[in-house]
Amino acid sequence: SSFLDEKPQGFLSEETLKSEDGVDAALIGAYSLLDGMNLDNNNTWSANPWNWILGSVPTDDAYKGSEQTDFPEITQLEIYQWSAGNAIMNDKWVQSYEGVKRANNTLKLMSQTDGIAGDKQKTIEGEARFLRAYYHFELYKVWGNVPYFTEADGENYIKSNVGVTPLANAIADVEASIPLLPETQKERGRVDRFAARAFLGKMYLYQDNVDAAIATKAKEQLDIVVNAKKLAPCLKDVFQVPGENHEEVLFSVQASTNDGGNSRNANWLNQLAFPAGPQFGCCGFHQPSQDLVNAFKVDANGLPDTDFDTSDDADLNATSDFVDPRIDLTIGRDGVPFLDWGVHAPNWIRDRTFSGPYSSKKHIHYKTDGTSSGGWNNNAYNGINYPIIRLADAMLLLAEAEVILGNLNRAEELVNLIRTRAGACAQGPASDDITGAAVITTDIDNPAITWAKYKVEPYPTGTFVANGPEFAKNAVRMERRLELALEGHRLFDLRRWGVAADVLNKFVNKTKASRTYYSDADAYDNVKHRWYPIPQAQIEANTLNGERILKQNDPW
Amino acid sequence: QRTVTGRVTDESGNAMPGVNVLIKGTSQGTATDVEGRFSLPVNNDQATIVITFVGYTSQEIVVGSRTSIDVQLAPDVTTLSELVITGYSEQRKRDITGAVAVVDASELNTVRAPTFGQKLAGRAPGITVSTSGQPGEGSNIRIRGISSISGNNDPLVIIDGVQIQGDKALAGLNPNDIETMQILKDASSASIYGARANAGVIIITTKQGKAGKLQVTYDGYVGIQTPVKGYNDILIKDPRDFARVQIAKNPNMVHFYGGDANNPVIPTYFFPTATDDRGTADKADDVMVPATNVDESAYNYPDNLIMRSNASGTDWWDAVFSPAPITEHNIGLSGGSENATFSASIGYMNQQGTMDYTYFKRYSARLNSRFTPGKKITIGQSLSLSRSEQVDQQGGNGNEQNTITQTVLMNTIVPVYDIAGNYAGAKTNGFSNAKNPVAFAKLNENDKNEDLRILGNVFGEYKIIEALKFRTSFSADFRNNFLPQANFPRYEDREVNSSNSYQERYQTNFNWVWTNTLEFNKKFADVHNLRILGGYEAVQNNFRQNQAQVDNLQFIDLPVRYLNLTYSTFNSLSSNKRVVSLASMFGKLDYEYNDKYLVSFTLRRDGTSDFLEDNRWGVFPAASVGWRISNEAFMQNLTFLSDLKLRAGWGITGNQNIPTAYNAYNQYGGRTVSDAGYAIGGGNTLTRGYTLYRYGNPDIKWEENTSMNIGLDASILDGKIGLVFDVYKRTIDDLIYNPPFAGAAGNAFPSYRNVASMENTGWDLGINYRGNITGDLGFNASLNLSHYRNEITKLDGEATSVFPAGIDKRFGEVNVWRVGYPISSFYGYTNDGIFQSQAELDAADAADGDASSEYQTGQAIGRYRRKDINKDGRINGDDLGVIGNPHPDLTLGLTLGLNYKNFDFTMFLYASIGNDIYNYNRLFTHFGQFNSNVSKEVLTDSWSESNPGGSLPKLDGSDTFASQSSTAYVEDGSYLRAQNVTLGYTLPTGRSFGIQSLRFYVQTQNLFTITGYSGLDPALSNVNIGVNVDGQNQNDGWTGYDLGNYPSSRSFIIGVNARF
Repeated sequence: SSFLDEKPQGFLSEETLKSEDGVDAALIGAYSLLDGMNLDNNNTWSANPWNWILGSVPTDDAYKGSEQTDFPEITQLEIYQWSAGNAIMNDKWVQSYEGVKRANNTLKLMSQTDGIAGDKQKTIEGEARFLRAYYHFELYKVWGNVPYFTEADGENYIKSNVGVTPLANAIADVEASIPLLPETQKERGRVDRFAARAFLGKMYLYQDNVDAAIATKAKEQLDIVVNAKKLAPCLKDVFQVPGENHEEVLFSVQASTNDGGNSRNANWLNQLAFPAGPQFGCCGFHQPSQDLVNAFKVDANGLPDTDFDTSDDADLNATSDFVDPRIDLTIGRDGVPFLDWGVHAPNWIRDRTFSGPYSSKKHIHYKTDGTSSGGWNNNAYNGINYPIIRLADAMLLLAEAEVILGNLNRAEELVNLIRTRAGACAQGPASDDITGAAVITTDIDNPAITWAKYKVEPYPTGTFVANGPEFAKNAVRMERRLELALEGHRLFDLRRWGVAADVLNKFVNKTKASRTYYSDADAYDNVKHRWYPIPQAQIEANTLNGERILKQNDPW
Repeated sequence: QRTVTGRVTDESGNAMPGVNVLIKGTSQGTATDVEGRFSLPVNNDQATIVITFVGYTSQEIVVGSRTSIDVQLAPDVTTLSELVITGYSEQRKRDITGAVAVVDASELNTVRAPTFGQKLAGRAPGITVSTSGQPGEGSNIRIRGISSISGNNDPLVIIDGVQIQGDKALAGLNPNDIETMQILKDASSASIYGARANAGVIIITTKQGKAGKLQVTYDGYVGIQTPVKGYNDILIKDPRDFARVQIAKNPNMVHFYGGDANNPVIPTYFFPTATDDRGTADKADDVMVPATNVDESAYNYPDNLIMRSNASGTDWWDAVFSPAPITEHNIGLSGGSENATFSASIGYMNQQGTMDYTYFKRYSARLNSRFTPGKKITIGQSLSLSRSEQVDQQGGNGNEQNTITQTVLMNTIVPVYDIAGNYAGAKTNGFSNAKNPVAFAKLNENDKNEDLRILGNVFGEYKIIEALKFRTSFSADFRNNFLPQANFPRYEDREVNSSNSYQERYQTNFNWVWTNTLEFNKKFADVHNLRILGGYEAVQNNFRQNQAQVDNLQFIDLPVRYLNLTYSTFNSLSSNKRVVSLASMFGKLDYEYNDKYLVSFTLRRDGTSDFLEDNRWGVFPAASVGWRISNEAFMQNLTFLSDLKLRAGWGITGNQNIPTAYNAYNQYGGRTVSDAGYAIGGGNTLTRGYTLYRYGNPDIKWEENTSMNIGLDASILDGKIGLVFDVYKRTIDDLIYNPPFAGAAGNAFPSYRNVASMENTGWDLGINYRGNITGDLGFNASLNLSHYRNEITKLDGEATSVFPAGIDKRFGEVNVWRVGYPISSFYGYTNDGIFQSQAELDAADAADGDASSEYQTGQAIGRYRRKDINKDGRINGDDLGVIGNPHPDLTLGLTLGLNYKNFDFTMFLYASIGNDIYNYNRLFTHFGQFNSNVSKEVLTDSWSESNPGGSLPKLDGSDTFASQSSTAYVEDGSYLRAQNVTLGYTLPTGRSFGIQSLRFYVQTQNLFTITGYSGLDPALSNVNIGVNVDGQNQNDGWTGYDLGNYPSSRSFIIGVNARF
């Protein structure tokens, strides 16, 4: 009877979206997951694109931070006491797949929609396939053996991970997206062909056993990008609202503030990682390690320690040692101005004996830029974009490929471009003596800088060739660590390089002396810790005929 | 022919109007007038008059030569001939063949509790009620366990024909208006209500007027409630004790407190702090020490707060809880003439919460009237209005961010106020992340939930012929709800919040029901009693909601606390609507032969707009039989047995209840602006994006509950002893619920689906005794015992386990549905003591045959040892499993009553035996997450070399595993509680001063509780922990979890019942 035919109210149906605008709106929905969050009240911490929980804290770059009893699950990740029941990881799984699903739904919707202009159709398909690859890549980096979903899977969300090749599938998607994508996009948030090439290069190098053939393919893509784009004048620029869409940033998460979205499009998931000082309130997670601080030390020639092994280094002595100025654009240290927030002070840290005196800094906004209102910690909701891939990343990946291919001079040249830019600016004084205005970045030899002896120099031409491929490889890796520090890449880099156990166990052993809880750490094992354990909830949810078909990563 | 006149009075000599007086064997008869008088023509002296009235023993009197006959009727103690409404029609109680509990409303109303649910607890077998102590909080009423899980196990409540469902539906009902109440427990009785009867049906009729003189009643009481047990009984108070715990866990804190670990020193100020420079270059080992030389004159809010330590410790519980008054007043009026009666009442109730600033107030009014303009027509109406106001604890029950949990989290060194009288907080690093509980309570005082409810019904009845009656009834339920919520800056906290915000939510519900029935009722040949009922019903529920939030209000004082963008920042706005329609046809046939054999058949067909065409209609049949054995010839010698009836019933009820709107459809758009919107062009302007944000399920169909019931009713010794016993089995198939999909489905809200099958088996036993010991001394007792066992028998689809509430951020999964286990089972590791030695660790490591591999991640001496459930010699995800069952083995309600002359005494005891409680609070009280305050036990019962018998793990800040979900959280939740004790005295007034009767009483609730449960109150309401699927309160998904539950209080009241 018609009495029982209630017309649904208050939402759209799939049919309403079957137009060019509708399909594009679905694509925007797929982009909006880049920030790792969609649900209004869901603190999906581990899905943060900055990946500090899964990619940075469990490395030699950082400690969990905050204090002992706050998120002990993250401490477990930090010291390799991993378990399938660890509650913090599941969000990364679900949110990444939400992104996959949105990309797939866009493709499905497009295939059912008539009248989309041919060019537009190509672009949408390219963007959606890229995003699908990106979200799967995020899953792959963490868990390795993850099923790959395409629009052909329809509403089937249960799949086995036995024998899957997610990275190969993601590579195929990005390869397919390149001819579909335009050279440049009018809107900065959209992926363009350069971004896809850069990402493709990256994905090639994330494969196991990268050989010359793979390196060649990576180089092919990365060369195009590196030749076409320029670095921003100052490293800090790309981490600030005014400069965040500089051409160096090939593809990024577009954060926004005071947009009517209750701060959920701002950097919501980073709020735990602000200094616990009075300006921000919470909570001081993701504190840089002493080892990372030491890595920024340079010799009198402005170069890193030639053994590229920080585990045997003495701690940085700020008054006597030369230091790469990137340290103070990356790490908050006592006595050093913290952007325009004043001088970083001891009371900005919750418990220095627990996790040291440093704060992470790249994701911090200028005080003058302000934040977004709403939420429980509104002092932290800034609009800084997270660069998913930036030119410096692509350059250093290219340098890796060049080393593999034996082109050490080219690798050196790329590293030196990065180092030269590193010398272009440093954290300035908290205020100008004359105007009183905050000087956030300045020349590295500005006499007002009293807290550090900044120095950074390119490698003298021919250094890589003179010292051979092993040196070159390590120099590139060192540069990658310094340049991309605290951007969430470190663990994944160490794993793909196959050096994670070596580096991390040395780090753990050294750190036991200063961080008491490191005495509880399990040894990092290249096989055991190659992948995180798949969340138990997902193991339980993926069953077919009563059989668990999502196999736990060995030996978890 | 001559006329006999007479007067009928009740047991106390009051006139009884409306009593039927009939000449036996004829259809000649009359009814008494307002003064109880009748006059009836008789033909001869052999005539017998039969005098009958509901609830009274009938009398037959041979007229003889008398012309005047006065009759005094005695109440029928067996009450078996009482007419009760069981399904669109009335039925004699003795003829019921289903499982129906008839609750004595007058007994119910001897308990002076503010809400109906609280009064119902333990009053009828098979009914469990859980209510928190929060004033005005709705009760979860569960009939024979959990029957469904789609957010609605609430029975269908029919108040004067108005159908209501929902956990708070009854908070607005003034329980004093209840005249009769029946609870239909099994399908054979309830399935006539088909679609909505799945969780049982409660039928309430409110007081109707009686013909006669105007009657005025007044019932009122005043009382005081006090908290029974507080966290101050459990937690550490002395800040030095807390410091000892903290230093043991985190030796660094010794620098803050000074002294040593055993003798910490409480500094004069705890904020601000200074840093003690240890002189190393990197300052990583610098420690925090209390600032000395604090210049109090430099105080500045909010930039330079100064807080003095409270060396003796702040009793945060005491700072927030205090004795609170409760009062209620009801005035009733009723009366009428032979063909028009009315009943009206007004009520006022005001319950202040024992937690400061919480309260519940209700203003209510009711008017019922009935007219019989001709012999064939009856028309009537009922109308009730209620307005309630409620202030909850901030954050609501079962929430880590609520006021009660803050009293646990907050350190005692923190005083309530800082040196300038602003709120103090745990601002010092190393202290807790608590919010000041006093601020939390106080600043919430204007977040007043205002509810306006109008329930109305009009009906008309027309007797087409004597045996055939048509009835039409239209009911409407209109509800308006307004909830404001303001949040304030908290500079005093360690996690500073510096902005304010304000939001409003406005909801309206308009639900209507139109029912038409035709009923045929006739006795043939004096032995065949036949009743046939057929009907049609249409129901529609309309819901509308608007919600908006603004931030950064320049002014937030109450007079300007409005949504006004001229002095605030826009935050969010939403609006939604839902319409659900139901259409039903039903028929019922009752046949009774010679008061011995009873059969009943029911068939109902329901359609709902929530299901798509193919699955829309459900057919729900039921049948039951009864055999009155006591009327068989062979039983006639057993004179002690006044009535014995065997019953058996079978039937199916349905459930279509889906908490979210339009579940059949995939829903596109966005939950919020940020859900799918994105600043694709950079900057701060969002481009709209749309996505599938809620999965639809076009295949959803009726959940079906098949129930079988076998029962026995016995009445012994002229009704002095009554006994009702039922055994039952309920099988629920195609359970509707919305468990999360596999992660690959992403984060869109999962659809409600038919996911599982479940079984409840159990029995209910009710025994009551009513009798006089001597002429003056009466004694009565009633005992209700219930047992049920719940088990998930099947999970549809593919999953072997369902985590109904998703994943708690602190624990992972704590709550599971698994085949073979009851619903809402607790999930976690099983602890196997504490590792005592290296040798034990080594042996454990070798358990899997490889001594070099660890047995358990994070293992250490003094830490919990987890049990190896799958016996593979190591601990991993496969050792997680079911660790507790929230369902009681037995619940018991015992009422004992004594009356001696004008005194009456009743005591009501309630017990729940064999249920487990997941004491989530232990995350704080025992494991000290976020540096919360902890239980005194932590100081005395933690494992150490010198205390190897300690049951709690070693105090060790690096132990990140102790707090994982495990049996450490699970406790036996059995308890026995003296729910209610009343002593009354009725003044022997006669009828002086116009007072017909006057009774005074004193009553205490919650006089004592016997329990081994270590938390505040084992009587839990179901709570809402962590992030829930779909933002819905998954009540029964979270049975038995205790987190910040507002405990019940003890009350003493003094009251009066007067009749004029």
